[in-house]
Amino acid sequence: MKSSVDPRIKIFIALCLSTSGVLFTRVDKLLVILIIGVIYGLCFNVQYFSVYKRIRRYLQLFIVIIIIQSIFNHDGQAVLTINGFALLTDEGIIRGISYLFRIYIIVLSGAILTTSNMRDILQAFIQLKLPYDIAFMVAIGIKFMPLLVEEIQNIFTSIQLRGIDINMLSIKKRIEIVSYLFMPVIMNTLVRAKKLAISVDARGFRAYNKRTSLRQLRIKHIDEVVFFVTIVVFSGCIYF
Amino acid sequence: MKPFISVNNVSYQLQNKEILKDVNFKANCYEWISIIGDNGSGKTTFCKIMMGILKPTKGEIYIDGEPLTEMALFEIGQKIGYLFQNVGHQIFAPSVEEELAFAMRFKEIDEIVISKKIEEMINRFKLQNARHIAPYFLSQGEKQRLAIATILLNNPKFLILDEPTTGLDYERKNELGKLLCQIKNEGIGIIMVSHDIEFVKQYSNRIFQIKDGRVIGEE
Repeated sequence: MKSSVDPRIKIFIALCLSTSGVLFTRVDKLLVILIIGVIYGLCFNVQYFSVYKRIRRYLQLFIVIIIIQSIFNHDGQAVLTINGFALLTDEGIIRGISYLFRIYIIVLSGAILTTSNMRDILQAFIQLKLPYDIAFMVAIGIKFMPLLVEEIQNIFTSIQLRGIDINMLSIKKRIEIVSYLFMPVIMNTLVRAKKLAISVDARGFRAYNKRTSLRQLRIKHIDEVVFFVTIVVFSGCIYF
Repeated sequence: MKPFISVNNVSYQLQNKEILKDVNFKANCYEWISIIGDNGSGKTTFCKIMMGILKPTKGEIYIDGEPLTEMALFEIGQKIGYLFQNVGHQIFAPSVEEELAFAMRFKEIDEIVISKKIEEMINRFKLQNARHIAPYFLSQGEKQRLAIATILLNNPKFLILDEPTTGLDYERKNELGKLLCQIKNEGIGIIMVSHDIEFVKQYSNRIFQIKDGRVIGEE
């Protein structure tokens, strides 16, 4: 199924998933959307292990945010009380779990898009009548993401190689370290973007108004079936 | 004499491709070792493995008699300095002075000592005219000198330099060569990865070649 489904259908599914993830507030509905997303992921052969490896480092951050969400929500029955102050309530915990589901749904939507190659996604955007300039920018942005990640990792490594034990630093100093990561990354990104702009201009980007593509995406029967199933599934989710 | 860096039967595999195969390598302080090889032969990977940035799939590495697996990156950095292939990835502070002071401030060293050391490094690495400039606006040669200065502030016993001559003209290369010779004469060992055969032959004590992930020769 991975190679046979049209990228436009995958974009539609990703859009349905992420929109539902953002709009639905009930935890049971979010769980259903998450399960639907997982099933779609399995059908499109999403590499769950590599997705997990990518988001593994942010898991602690997610957990902290869930706890913060729970602490600042005082509705519902108290679950954990300290000196008469309801630190955790059942409503707060449910809201925290909803937040976690939402994150996973959005990550899954992105993961579904990665099962098509970048050229096909770009072509899908073009055939969906998105202006080529914007489609090209989106594709370039996605292509350069791994480079940005590598850059951040290198800076982080070089900070540690200067003999700084980050684990022993206070939270204030850790935040200060993170602030040092952004400056070179933004600077390098701007420099790279400028060079890329010169390069694409030199190669005749936007030289002509009409642009043709050798490869055209065509909707097949399986795409129509997947599209129809998606509409039924998400209409059902909205209705119930 | 016990080698400072000892690499025993190290292999490294990435996505089913063997990048390094059973590499054995020993390096002592007071020597300058160069590693040459084609693009993609595994030179940078080898450097990153010796620095503990990448973990070998097989084999052991000892730094100053200690197994590398038992050392954290900050501990390795105090024994070996690493100059990245893209030097821009290791300079990040808003000015040259702050770049030099960065690690010392985090280690809560006295400000008077920091100022003294900054002054010493700025004079030694000829960065007087650049002290208040953001490192991004420095030339490639200045960036490299700044990066080496920040590394030396950690008092390492060894330097691993990944393609330090890239982007340098003849004169800057000679300056870099002389500077590294001075550092070597202070008892700091050097491992350098380079494509620049002329530069390598001029300064190195030993030259290794890596081909298809194997160390195939030593001059």
